[in-house]
Amino acid sequence: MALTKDEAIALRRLDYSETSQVLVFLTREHGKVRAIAKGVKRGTKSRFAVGIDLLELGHVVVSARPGGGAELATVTEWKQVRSMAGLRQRLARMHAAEYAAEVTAALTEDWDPHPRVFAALVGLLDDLCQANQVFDRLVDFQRELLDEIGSLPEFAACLTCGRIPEPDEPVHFSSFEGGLLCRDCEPAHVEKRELLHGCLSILRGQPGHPTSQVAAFDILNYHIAHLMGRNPTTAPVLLATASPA
Amino acid sequence: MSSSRIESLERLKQEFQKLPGIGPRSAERLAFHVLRATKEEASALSDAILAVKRNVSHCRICFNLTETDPCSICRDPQRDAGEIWVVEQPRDVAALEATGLIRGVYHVLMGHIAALEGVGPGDLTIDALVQRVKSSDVREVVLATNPTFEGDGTALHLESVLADTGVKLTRPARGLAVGSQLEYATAAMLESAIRGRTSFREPSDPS
Ligand SMILES: [Zn+2]
Ligand SMILES: [Zn+2]
Repeated sequence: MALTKDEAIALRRLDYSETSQVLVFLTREHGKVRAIAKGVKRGTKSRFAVGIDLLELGHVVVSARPGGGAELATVTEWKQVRSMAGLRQRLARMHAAEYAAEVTAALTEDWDPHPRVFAALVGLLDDLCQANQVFDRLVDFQRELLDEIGSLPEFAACLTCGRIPEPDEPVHFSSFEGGLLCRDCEPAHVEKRELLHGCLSILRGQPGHPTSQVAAFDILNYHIAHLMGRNPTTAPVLLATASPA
Repeated sequence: MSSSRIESLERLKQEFQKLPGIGPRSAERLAFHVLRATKEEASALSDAILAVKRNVSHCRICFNLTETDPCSICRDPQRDAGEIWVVEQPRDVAALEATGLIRGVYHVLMGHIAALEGVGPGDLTIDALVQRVKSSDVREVVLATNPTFEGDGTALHLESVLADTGVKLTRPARGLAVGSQLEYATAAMLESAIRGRTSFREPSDPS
């Protein structure tokens, strides 16, 4: 058994028995790590302090068989660094953080390092602790996550003909094609979503209006759902709670 | 392996092994214990198991586990029905009752909202709580869900659905654990303790 020490955020936490929990961590240097924390719910083991909560930042030590693959590691230490308490002041912030946790867990592999995704997630959670509007930061996070796993769609030019659409041209997005379809090429495709006005510039990484940010989030979520093979369960909850009036 | 497996003993071992915290070794020990017991002892055990399933249900008012409906707490005229302590599980009622400090009544949610696990407000007894607050003289609802991510999220949701009832909403104090040392407290415990600090001498008993 080898000990791995790293910074980590718990993306999921499931009760395993009366006293134990299974946690899915994203670690900075080691990627996603699934581990069992024995005795964590009793709080008697001082090395777990008061338990390991979702989406707080901490230092974790896990023991795992090298190259153990899908085998569960064991949490031997946990020390909280930042509680991200600001998330818990508003439901929209919590649901935004849950969405980020769900898609990160779904789109990364065990023990596959993505330090950039970890940094993006910490940055997102820190910002959400103060945020009034959550979608602009979520779109940034979706873009970084997709870029890091090599699945960021192409929003500069039409994927079929290579033409850059006119500023006011109605355009579509195809997840299967992985990007934009111009007015001329769009009719030949079945799988597509229309991009609402003002949405494209946000998808290209520029600022935009709050309602357009929701539309941009929705397009990237549509793409993420294709990659995951299902709609993230946290997405409808988030959209119902956090959409600007 | 022995070819003379005793079927009913195997069956008992398998049933014990389904219990939380019971591995194969413990299951075997328990099964042999039952085997050695008298017939009366064994039927007392099986009767007790059946009686729990037959007699225990959820209180129609507070959803706590009970053998009488409504439960003894909801029927107690000495309890203050205007103060409802909202908790996640029946075990939380037991923990709060053990303090002997609660004069109010309870409402058991039967879990917490967990969007990541697909558990929504409709899976809990939240509608019944809202009805209860609207249809009776409730002054205060204490949101005593666990101070975890899901428990805090559930409390925020309850705040939003109870907002228009005008009822006073409170949350139990949180912070440093009694008997612990400041230098070992987590950031979250210190943060709560600092924000929620109270006057050194309370003017009077808060209850
Ligand atoms: Zn084209
Ligand atoms: Zn009751």
